[in-house]
Parts: sequence; structure tokens; C-alpha cells
Amino acid sequence: MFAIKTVALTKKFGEFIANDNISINVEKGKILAIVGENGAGKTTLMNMLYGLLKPTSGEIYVNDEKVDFRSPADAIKHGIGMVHQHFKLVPSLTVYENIFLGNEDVFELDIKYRKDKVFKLKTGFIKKKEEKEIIKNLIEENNFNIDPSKKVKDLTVGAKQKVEILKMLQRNADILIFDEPTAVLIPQEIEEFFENVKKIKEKGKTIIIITHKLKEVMEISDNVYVIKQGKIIDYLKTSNTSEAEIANLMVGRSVLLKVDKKYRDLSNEKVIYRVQNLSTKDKDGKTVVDNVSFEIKSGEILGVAGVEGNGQTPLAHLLTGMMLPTSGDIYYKDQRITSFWPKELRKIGLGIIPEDRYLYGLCEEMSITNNLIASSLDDENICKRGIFQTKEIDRHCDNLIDKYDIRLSEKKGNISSLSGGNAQKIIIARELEKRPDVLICSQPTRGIDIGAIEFIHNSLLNYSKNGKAILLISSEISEIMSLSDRIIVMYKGKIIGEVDAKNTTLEELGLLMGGVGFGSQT
Amino acid sequence: MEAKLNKKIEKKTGILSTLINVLVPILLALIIAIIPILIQNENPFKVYFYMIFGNFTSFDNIATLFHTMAPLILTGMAIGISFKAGLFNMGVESGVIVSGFVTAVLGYYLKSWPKGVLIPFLFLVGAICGIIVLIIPAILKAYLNVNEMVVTLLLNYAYIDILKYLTTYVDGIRDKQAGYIKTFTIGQNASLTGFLGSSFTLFFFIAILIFFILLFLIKRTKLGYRIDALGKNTCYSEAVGLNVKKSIIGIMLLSGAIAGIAGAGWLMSDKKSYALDFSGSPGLGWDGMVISLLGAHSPIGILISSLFYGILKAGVNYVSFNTIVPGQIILIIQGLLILFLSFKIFTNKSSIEYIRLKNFINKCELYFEKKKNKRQKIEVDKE
Repeated sequence: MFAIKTVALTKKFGEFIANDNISINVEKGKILAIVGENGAGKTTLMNMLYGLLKPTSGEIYVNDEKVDFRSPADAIKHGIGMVHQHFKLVPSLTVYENIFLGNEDVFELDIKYRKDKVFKLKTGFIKKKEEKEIIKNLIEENNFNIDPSKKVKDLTVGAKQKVEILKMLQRNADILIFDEPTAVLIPQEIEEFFENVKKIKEKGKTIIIITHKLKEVMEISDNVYVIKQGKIIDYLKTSNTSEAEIANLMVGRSVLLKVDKKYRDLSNEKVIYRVQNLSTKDKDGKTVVDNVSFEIKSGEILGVAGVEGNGQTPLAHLLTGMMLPTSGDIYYKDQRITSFWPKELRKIGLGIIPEDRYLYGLCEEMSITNNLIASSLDDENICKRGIFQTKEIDRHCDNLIDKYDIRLSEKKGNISSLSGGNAQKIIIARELEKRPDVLICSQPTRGIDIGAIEFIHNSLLNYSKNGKAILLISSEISEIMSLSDRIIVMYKGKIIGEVDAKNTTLEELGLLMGGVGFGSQT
Repeated sequence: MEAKLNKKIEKKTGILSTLINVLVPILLALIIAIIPILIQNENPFKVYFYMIFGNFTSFDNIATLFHTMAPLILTGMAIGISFKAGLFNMGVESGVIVSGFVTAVLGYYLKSWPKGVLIPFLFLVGAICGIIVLIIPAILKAYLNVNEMVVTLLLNYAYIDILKYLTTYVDGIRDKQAGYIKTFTIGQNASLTGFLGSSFTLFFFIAILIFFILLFLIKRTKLGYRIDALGKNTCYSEAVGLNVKKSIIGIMLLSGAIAGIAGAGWLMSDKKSYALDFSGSPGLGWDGMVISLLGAHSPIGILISSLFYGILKAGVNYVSFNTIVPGQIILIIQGLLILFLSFKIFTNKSSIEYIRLKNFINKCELYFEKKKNKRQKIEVDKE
């Protein structure tokens, strides 16, 4: 008997197949890890098991009973509990109030009618004392070491996770699903978390952990499913496998797009852009970019690889003036440009291709023309004494649309009428046309069609040939490998390793991305 | 072929949804305003007839309509440009009254200046007053991200009371011979007189001129680009290197300047002296807000809705003259308009209502196509 069994589970979002014919068996009383890259379909699968998404086709069995979850409440009834990556807690309520939220233990009034029949009338008054007592016992039972009457907003991230686990235990969940449980924890908390998970397992509960950190998979799980592009690639016993094997399976040997990268000797080129010991914290005070240093030479493409959420986004924000560093410096041609505004950065010769295309890169409700000229408003030809030179602008835009092969249905249309690929080309056209000496480029081809990807890859390569430096931040390994000269890998905000793109292997990169550091350490 | 049809349907849906968005609140407001009219025992059709057509019965009435419209165009635009940029600037009203007051005082003391110098000078002073009024909220918003709506709204009351004090208690400002609290009447040289004895003055042309200048600013200049980008996507404005702080201050001050010109013009062309009810109740600034909302913050929309609003506002006089309903009925209509304008049926192109409307138009289109084909078939058969 399996705790959970799925048969040919498929989930489609429109044309896109997120989960393709997934059949998994979850053994009772074991810890199962599900690993895969970003967008491989791990979370979609779990959301179906937890009733958040409805499968397009396929069946789910819980304890050999066929189920059809319409909401998480159904899943909870069947003993499935899920701890999300982003906790779902109310900060202003206490620990026990959070655990009982929506499920409160209230005073009941017995109303007798027709002699022996009793109607229980629920009042709005909560049995706080009893609730607190129950939670206190539960905490002691699990050795969790948190105060039940403390407010959630005063807890550390690790403690908040414990509250989430308690919530599941209190609802008698037998199967616990953790979505990236260690993504938000600090190392000490991770250790503690592992111990707790093992303890829960000893009680006979089944645990499913979604992760992409290979070290943790090896340390904690009994079995591993590797998932890639919505398909199950392999099922392994953890004791019979190695990190390298999983890394290989996870990254896979996806066909590299055809680009003609010619490696040049860059040893004589000057360093044009330098980052020194850059660190920053996010809103919660967690260090998200940790002592990052690197330099780029003219004509070089430096790839920043890493699993998403390991500090690449804040790094890109730091470099493009959208966020301030807590320490460290950025230099451009020996000029200190730390904490410069985007406007100033553009003025001295930086190009920016932001990660979030429709938030920072484009204005969807503005016309294509207006988006194309956005960074050239100080250009005399385009905007003379604050007045637009319409003829010149039209000529300029026609030129760009032609040169960058931007396909539009109507010339006067808004950005929202374009496909993702063409929208991205607008940004590329706008930024490259300014001929910046350094281009900071984040996820340039995310979610766009193959044709556009190829075009953009070639544009970037051609651009770097003219002696311009490019920093390429991407979570697409194949993209990084086929474009870069040198690759640095980020893991938990740090640079965990640096490799030469010409001589590296997918396996080596995969291990580094999973947090297993070797190669030339920086 | 199909793409062409789709585009046609898209366009039709766009126009229809905007029309419905604007017309439904107007109709609702006019329908509900029937209740107080009925309570007064008056025929609502008679009231609305005078309200609308009373404006067009004589040359004088049409002149009055244009005269009423002039400040409305300006305050509508003042609100429009700041709302378009996502700045909820409520300070237009204070811009109007402060500039009106200052114009009244200067118009009295500088009455010896020649007309050709004094009037442009007073307009300039009015614009500066509007700028000064809005400079505090603009700086607070740009540098400390203080909510501009709260600051401008509360400052309105501060300015109203400051002006009340100045007009009531300060010697040299209050005209003590008048029967009510007001400043001295401005001199003949500061006064904009009507053409051909009507109330139609140069102020209307100035308002139209400023309207076209703003239209040009919005469509063809960097400032317009800033307004547009800031209102549609702040992150984008920042990331592509527009200075958001500078944009915020620039837009707020421009809005203030327009409000100031409206106040100065209204004083010189209509009121001639500053009394406590100078801006009317509700004030010109608030009228501007209704107009801007009605016109969806687009310049042409604002021009059309200020004509509509002008018709209501000027038409009220003919209502109170010809029926037993007092002019205050306009307050009810205005209140209802704001209420109904605050919700939109078609919020954006991805809303269910919009898609339903599109499907409906699509069906109609197909239906007509079929009918056409049938007719053609019949004709062919006949032949």
C-alpha cells in the first residue's frame, strides 16, 4: 500500500503541459524527495496533490482510495498537509491562534429540545486556555521550543516554519508536503529542520520534500524522483546514488541551441567593469547578496548561473541602480558607480536589460514607438528642447523594427499587442542601439519562442564581438554555456565557483548550482 | 481576413465600452435626481429640458455657457494631467482660491497699471500662486513618499481658513462698505469685459489656448512622456532613466499653475472681487475632478465633458428661473455623478464584462454577415 499513488497525472495550462503523464508512488513512512530545475513542474504536481489545482487527466490515490480533491480542505480531510515556500500565517496573531485559525475551538451551548434531543449552538467565544494547552503539549511532544502565546511577527523564519508544521500536525496530517523548505532558512535552522523532519518520520508519517538542493536530498531522503520538463526522468534510492548522478539527470543533456560562439583570447583586454565585495539585505534583513566580487573585460561575456532565488535578482537590481548595497563597490572604467541612479548609469554608458520584462523593461500600455525611444530622450535628434521630433522618431523606429526583425501586427499598437519574443526584442533593440560599453542582461530569453531566442543570442554575441562587455544573468544553463566566456555560479547569495565556459561540463555546473562547490573557488 | 475582422471587433468594443463607462453614470445620476424633483412636485422632463436647452435659446445664453466652461476646462486639465500620472492631486481647489484672492488684492492695488500689462501680469501671478500652493505636497510626495491625496486634501481646508481670516480681519483687504465679507473690487484695468455686452470674455480663448498647449505638451513632448510613463508604470519610468522625483514635482507644479490661471481668470472675468463663496460650492477644483473623471483624463474627453458640465452648470439658472426647483439640484447631480463615476463597468481589457461585450459584438457581426449572405443568395437566385 502506498501513501500516495498517482496514475498518469497530467496538467495542462492552455497549450503548455506542466505535468506530463506523471505516475509516482509514495511509500508510507518514508521521506521522498522530488528534485528538478525551476519550471520542471514540481510545484504543479504538489499543488494537484494538495487540491490547489485540478488535474487535466489522471488519477490520484491516497491510501489506495481514489480521491478527487476540489480544494485543500478535501486534501486535509484525507490527511495531507502542505507547508508552502512562503508561509501562510497571520503576523499579528499568536502561535496558537494561527494554528487554530479557521478551525477554532469554541464554547458550545447545549439547547435541549423535544426531550432528549440536543442542539449544539456554537458561540463566537474561543476556548483560549484549552487551545493554548493543546498547542503547548504538541510543542513539547515535538521538542519544538517555541512559545505558543508569542506573536508570529516576532518569530524567526525557522520558528515560523515550525508553526506551519504544527498546524499540519494539529490537523492530524499523515502526509506532509514541503515546498522548498530550506529556501528561506539559515544554515543552523536547516540542521534543526532536518532533525525535526526525521523525528516526524519516526512517528510513522510520510514526508514529501520538493527541492533542488542536492546536498539536502542526499542527507535526508530515502527515495528520489527526478523530474524534468514535466516528466518523471528517474526514480532512485538515495543510498544507491550520488549527487553527481542526480545533477546529471536533473540538468539533462538538453539540446543546445545552435549558436556560433568563437572563443577569443581576452588576456590582453582591459577590465571595464568591476564589482567588489558587494552585499545587500532584503526587506526582512536577510543577506541576499553576500560578498560578491567579479570583473568583466571588454569583449567578454560573463555568465552568472545558478538556480533561481539564489541572489541573482537582487544582484541585477544592485547593478542597475534599483536597489542599494549595504557594502561593497561597483566600478566602471575606474569610476566608482555604486548607488548610481538608473539614469546616471545609462548616461555613463551602461545598458540594462531587466529581468522583469513588463515591469521594468517595457510599459505595456504605451505604444511601441514610445517604448523604443525611452532611453534616448536626451538625444538631440529625438527630443529637441523637450519637444519630440516625430519624423526623426518614426524613421528611427522603422529602422530598429527592421534591423531587429520585430514582427508587429500594427505599427501604432501598444506593447501588449506583441508576443513575448517581440516585446523582448524591443528592449534589446532599445538597449543595444545606445551602444553601451557594458550591458547588464538578466534572463534575456525567459519564456519566449525558439526563433526569438536564437535571434537574441546572436545579437548578444555579435555585440560582444565589438569589444563590449556583457554580464549575462540567467537560470537557463544551456544559454549560459553557449554564450559565455566565463561562468560564475551563485548559491545562496554567494559566488560558489567560477569555471571556464569552454572547458566546463553540465555536470560540473549542475553540482555547483546544487551547492556542491568545487572547481576554482573564488 | 480574420485578423482584420478581429481588429474591427476590438475597435468597436473599445469605443462601446468607453461610451458605456461614461454614459451609464450620467444616466443613472440624471434618473436618480428625478426623485428630489418629484418631491418638489415638478415635472422632471421640464427641469431637464430647461437645464439642457435653456443654454441655446439666445446668443447671450450661449455666451454664458462658454463663459462657464472656461475655468472648467482649466481645472479639468489640471486634475487630468496629475491623475493621468497617477498623482491624486486634490489641491486644484486651493490653487484656484489662493490665486483668486491674490488676483483680487493685486487687481485693486495695481489698478493704475495699463490694461495690456496688468492682465497678463495677473495671470502670471495666478499661475505662480498655484505653483506655490502645490510645492509642499509635491516635495513631500517626491522625496518622502507622503501620500499626496491626504496632504492636498487637508491643505485645502488650511488655505480656505487662512483666506477667510485675511478677507475678514485685515484692513486694506476687506471692503468694509460691502454688505458681506469680500475684498475690494478690482479696477477697470484688471477686469476682463465681455464682448458685445455678453458675459463672454477673453478668458475663454485663453483657456482654449492653454488647452491646446497642454494637448501639445502631452502628445509631443518629453514632459507628456513622463506623465504617461509615470501613470502607467512607475518601475518602468525609473528603470529607463526618467527621474521620477523630478517628474512628480514637475507634474504637480504644472497642475498648480493651470489651477492658478483658472482662479485668476475666473476672478477677473466673473467675480471681480474675492468673497468667501468665490469658487462656488462645490468649488471649481471639485468640478474639475468630475470633468476629468468623465473624460477619462484624456484631453479631448475633458474638453467634451467640460462642455457637458458647463451645460448643466449654466443651465441650472434657467431651471430655477422657469420652474420651482432651486439651482441646488446641480449639487445633487454632481454628487451622484462622482458616486457613479467611481465604479467602472469595464475596468480593463481582460475583465469578464469586456470579454462578454466583445463576444456579443462578435455574435452581432456574424449575424449581420449571415443576413447579408442570405440576401445576396436570394438576389443571385432571383437572377
